[in-house]
Amino acid sequence: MQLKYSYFPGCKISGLLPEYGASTQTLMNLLGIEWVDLQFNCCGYPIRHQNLEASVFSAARNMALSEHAHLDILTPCKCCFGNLKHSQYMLKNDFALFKRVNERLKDEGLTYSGRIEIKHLLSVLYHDVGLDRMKTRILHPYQSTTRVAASYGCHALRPAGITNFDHPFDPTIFEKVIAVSGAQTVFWPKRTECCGQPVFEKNPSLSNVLLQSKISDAIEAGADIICTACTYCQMQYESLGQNQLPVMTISQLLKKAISGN
Amino acid sequence: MLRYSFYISFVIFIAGMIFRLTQWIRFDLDTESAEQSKVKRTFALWESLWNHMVSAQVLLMLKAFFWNGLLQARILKSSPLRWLAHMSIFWGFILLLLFHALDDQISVWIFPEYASTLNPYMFLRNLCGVFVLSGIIVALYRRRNKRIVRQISNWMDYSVLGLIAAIMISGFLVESLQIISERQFDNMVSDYMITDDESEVLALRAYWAKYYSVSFSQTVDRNNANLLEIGHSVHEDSCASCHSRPHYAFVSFNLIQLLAPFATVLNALHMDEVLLIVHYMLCFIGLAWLPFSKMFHMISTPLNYCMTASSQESKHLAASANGKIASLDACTHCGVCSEHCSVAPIYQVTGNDCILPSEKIGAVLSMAAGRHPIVLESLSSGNAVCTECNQCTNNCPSGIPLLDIWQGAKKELQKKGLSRPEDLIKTHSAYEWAEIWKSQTPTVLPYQSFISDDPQTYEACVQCSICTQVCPIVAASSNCGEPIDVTPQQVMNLLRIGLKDKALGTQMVWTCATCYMCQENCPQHIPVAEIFYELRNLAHAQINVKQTGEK
Repeated sequence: MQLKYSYFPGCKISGLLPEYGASTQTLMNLLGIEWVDLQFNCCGYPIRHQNLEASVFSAARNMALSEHAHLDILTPCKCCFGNLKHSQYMLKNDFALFKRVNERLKDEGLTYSGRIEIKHLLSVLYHDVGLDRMKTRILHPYQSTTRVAASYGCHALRPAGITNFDHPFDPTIFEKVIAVSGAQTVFWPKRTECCGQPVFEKNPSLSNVLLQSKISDAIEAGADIICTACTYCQMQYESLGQNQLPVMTISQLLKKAISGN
Repeated sequence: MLRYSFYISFVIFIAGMIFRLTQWIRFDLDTESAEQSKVKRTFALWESLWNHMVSAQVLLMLKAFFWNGLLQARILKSSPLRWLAHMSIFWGFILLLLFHALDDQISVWIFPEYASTLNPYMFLRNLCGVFVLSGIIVALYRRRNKRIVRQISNWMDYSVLGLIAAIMISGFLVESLQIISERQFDNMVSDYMITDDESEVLALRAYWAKYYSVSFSQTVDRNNANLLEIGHSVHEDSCASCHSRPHYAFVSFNLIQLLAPFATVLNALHMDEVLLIVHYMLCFIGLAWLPFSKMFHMISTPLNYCMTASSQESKHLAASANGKIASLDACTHCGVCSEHCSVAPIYQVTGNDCILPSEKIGAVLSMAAGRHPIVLESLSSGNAVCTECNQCTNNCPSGIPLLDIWQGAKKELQKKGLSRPEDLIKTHSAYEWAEIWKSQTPTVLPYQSFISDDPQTYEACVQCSICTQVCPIVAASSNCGEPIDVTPQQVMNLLRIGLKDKALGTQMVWTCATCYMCQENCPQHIPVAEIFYELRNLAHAQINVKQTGEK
């Protein structure tokens, strides 16, 4: 079956982390995942602190665009994923909000009905592509001595009842996907905790404390590499991680295992 | 009168150009720019112009000018339809300006046989006019039919299009009225005909009535073959060298068919002269208005292309201060940035037009000019929404480094005392904020049902403190030595005892990392993180009111 999605990079990839976007696109091509670019806007995550209505409307517009194209959304960002899922949940459970949002969308000739699914890159790799199919593509596996720490990212895990991504405290799919590349995964207690990015602008020192406690936890667990699957987490590790451990995104990791670079 | 009108408009044009160009020195985009003395900046402007001229960069700049200025490749990249429209208007207008408006200065020198009433000039003139008008129709269509562009289009956009259209239409009307004008015919006869023979003039009238569409008040026998033959030979002797048949002016000629029923009245009222004055006046208005209107982009946008093409870094702060303002001036208010803006849907909900880049640029310019504190507030809250996706910069047909400007403005607004809400909230304790907000009329958020108002949301809380124990912010802040003011469990308690107003300004609510640990671990299934989101929403609405209230 041909896998096809609308690709939702999110604002930060196009503006600040283009390499995550580029490697995700290459990975999708390597795995034979078809994807299209739509005229997406912000997922609504950053504005949710200020104005829930604006956040839900932003998310709904994206989902309506993808509905119009009859495609599920694939995003490599956990915050985008989390907010799109959350807005979907709000729109399903708040009929007044649903009506107001659709009233606004009508101006553009769009409608939101909730038909499509929002998928994170990891779920697509794990559920839709499948580990077995991925394994056949790995031509340059990592050495089994390479120890990778998977940094999950909160907004995909929780609230689990809304995101339906994996277990909120004891998830496994990220490790399983990494294991396909031949590398070994390590267990570290703080793998499902906050990276500190959400408070980076409000309180940089606090944000750094949160990140450092994660990094030292990963080092203690014997990790050689930290792997992320979220634009915001990756940005946080890159800006405050100060090269304590190499940090790479899941798409960079798998791309290397498949194509050798 | 026309002569003096021209002088007046030309003087206004020159004064306006000086006014606009000195803005690049007078305006300060940021504090660093303001610290540079104006004298230094004046020299820097000349110096950077000169440095660029004499360096090898001039080739790069010429290339940019050719591709982006003359062929407008950047517009083609952003939208082929808009490129077609803009190229039609631009080249149609420029050719008309050079070879029609300035024909005495340019055309007569290049084409020795030139006469405005000869073909192919008649045809080309009409063709250019048609190009400009069709470009304007496409531009209007775009402004009316693209949602975001329709919302941002203002009187300036429409009046510039209207003025250019009026110049073209009046031009066509003048031409057709001159063709049918009897008086023009009589003047030409008295000026250029050698003989005074009445019968020859009569024959010529017949010939011109038939073949040159002149409308005579007295009836002329247009079907007398004999008369026409004499007319033809007179025409060949006296007129043919300067006059081609009017149908070459294909628009004006077809307009005559519409005007024909009123020809006598129009001739009697000397409408050709009236329209000619109107045509001239519209052109003069355009000239005088150019420096003050968006038409100024004819100068500033190509200049910006050259500026950005040159990799030569400005050495001085003074030069970069000038450059920043000059690049702001390159905006044509085309709205492409707002069409691509990632946060445009937020504008649809909140209505703050300073979210949209095309509008924000105007607000930044007024900040640079030192005007409008009210605008600064909308700019501050609108600019804070920007996610720095860089789509505006990538898509700007004028090549303005927009994201740099937004980031600069963010810093500058903070320096000007317009704090971000997340900084402002730290200036008072939660209890002080509750007192401040008590005196205000509560802001009504567009969505009315709040989970924090519903006791059922948190009444199950048994104050077991699990939320506090799992909260990474509580742990990290005590590790920093700056423990958070209240814990999640205490916020829940404030709600339980009806002190929601005291919860809105707490650091706990504002510093929440939204990791949902509290909510997911709560044995009573209380949506703690969702409540925090809602409290932040409410506090944001209050804090915005306060800032405006102070002014």
